[in-house]
Amino acid sequence: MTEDFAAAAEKDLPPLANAVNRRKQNKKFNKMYLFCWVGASIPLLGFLLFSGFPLVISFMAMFSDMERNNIDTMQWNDFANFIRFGTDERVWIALRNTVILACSQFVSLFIAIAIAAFLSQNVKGSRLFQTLFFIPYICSTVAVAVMWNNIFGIKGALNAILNTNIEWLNNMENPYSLTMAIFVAVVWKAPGYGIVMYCSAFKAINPALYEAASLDGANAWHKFRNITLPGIAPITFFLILSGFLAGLTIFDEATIMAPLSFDGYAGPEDAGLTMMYYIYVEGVQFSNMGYASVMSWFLFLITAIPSVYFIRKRMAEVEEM
Amino acid sequence: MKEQILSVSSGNGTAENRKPIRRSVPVASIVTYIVLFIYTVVLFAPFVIILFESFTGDVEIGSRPSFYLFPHEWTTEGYEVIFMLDPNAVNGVPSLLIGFFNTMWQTLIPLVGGLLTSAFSAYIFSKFRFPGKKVLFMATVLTMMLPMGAFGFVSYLFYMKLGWVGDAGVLPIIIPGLFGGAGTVFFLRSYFDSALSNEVLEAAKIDGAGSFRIFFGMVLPLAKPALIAQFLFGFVGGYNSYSTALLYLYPNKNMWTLQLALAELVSMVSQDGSGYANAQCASALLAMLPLILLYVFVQKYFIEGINIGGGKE
Repeated sequence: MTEDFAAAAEKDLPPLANAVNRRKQNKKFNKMYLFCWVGASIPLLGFLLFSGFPLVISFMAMFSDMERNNIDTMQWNDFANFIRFGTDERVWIALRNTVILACSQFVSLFIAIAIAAFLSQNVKGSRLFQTLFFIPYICSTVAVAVMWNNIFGIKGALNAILNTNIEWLNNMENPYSLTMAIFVAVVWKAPGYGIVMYCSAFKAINPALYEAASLDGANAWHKFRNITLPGIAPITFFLILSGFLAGLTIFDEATIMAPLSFDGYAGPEDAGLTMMYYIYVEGVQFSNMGYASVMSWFLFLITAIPSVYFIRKRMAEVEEM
Repeated sequence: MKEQILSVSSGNGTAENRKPIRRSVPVASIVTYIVLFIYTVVLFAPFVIILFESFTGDVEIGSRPSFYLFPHEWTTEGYEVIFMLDPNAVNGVPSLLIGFFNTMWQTLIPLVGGLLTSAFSAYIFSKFRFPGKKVLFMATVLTMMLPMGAFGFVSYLFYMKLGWVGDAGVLPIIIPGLFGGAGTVFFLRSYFDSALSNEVLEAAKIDGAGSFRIFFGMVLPLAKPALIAQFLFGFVGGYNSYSTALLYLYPNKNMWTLQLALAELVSMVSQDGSGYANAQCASALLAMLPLILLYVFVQKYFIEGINIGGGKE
């Protein structure tokens, strides 16, 4: 598919001129290659500068003590950060909360499939519903967290609706009501993107397949399992994996809905502490970037596992290029 | 089109005694509308709740035994707190306004610059042949796949070494974006492959147009739908981003973005988490409103953008 301008230009020259200009052409080619290399590699250069260097520095920081996060004062610290990491209970609390919140992805996905399935049934105003359902997706996480803070408040709307008097966000007896509140805020915001994707995926499935299946005596469940599901599988994989990556790095909602208490806890029993939140607390608030780096690399390795799927798939696409 | 994809009530019966073209079953469509209606209510009730709360007085909120929707006494107290009594105001300008202005330029500069860079790179990857192209492209795609989100906070070490913190804290927000993104390159390249015909480009080349002229005069205009999609989702991302601003801009109130200003305002006015709930609700609404308005006008491009794959990387 790819066409080469330089080669095309060469083809258009008369043969004689071509031979005479061969040396000139070579020079021009080299200039062209340089132009291509520079122009094409700027994004890669940006990555190497602004992600590569931080990667290297944070790798070194894992093994060091620093004064006030100044990397010039790095000193070997005999794996102290790793030893602390292995014995720090808060890491496991943060990891558990993060995984719980990342699993909200499945709920969002289920909602997206269900709503898109309903929208695909010759509904009048299907497009309008899609448009409306997308609005939460573009709302800022901070504002959404503030909104749900209010609704989950002791005098908030939820208690009025349920006719209860529960401190959802600060409940000593059941700290996990805070985690669940964050979970709700995340799920409320997320499905819009999936709804739009599934709607177009459903539309793209050839209606003749359903006709044929009906003639063969397939019922609705069979049609769903054998025609609809394979049709939406690629999108589902994409949404689950990208949702997991986003879920594992949740920070905004947690820090707004579970602000640090005066004694340094993110909600009762740290129920609102996520990995990114803990990295922020350690690295930025306590100026302990060495330890924060250990946690960052740990989180990176976890998020890299689902990414491997993407990498292999994309690389296969590039190979075909 | 007549065929239903998930037929709610057609699970029974065999196909033999059915005609291929069926009328939609009323019960099924009623169920459908009920479900869609309930979901709409669930999605928009929170907005309505905080809208009414924002017009309720602080004393009324504090003294009522439990929540009710319609305020007994309508008041704009919450909005006055934001605009007149803002504890984070700089020279009397409320922090939300400063934040909105800062968000605009801090989002648009790296976004537009980065889109140009990415589009240029994608154009070269799509339409030129040069040695090492495949390796370069593979490396670019690989960087796009690495989940760098985990390093958001520890990158601070690097920018601190560069001196890009404190008063220069806006640089880590602007400069890296100008280099473009691998995800955008990948998306635009496949768009160029399919939407830009080589014949047209060759014709322009033979007419003597230079590579830059072709890029700005032909490639960019032809890539408009793809660029609009990337721009809109980039804009939403930049407008809503919070943690980077918190990390680098916190010491400098002049540079605060909207989300940072919102978060700080809410934590200032609430003190123990309950005071001035009306101001909290009002500021959350005001922070969401500009983007929702933008969305209402250009929603078509958002939906199209997702469908051509421009939303997520």
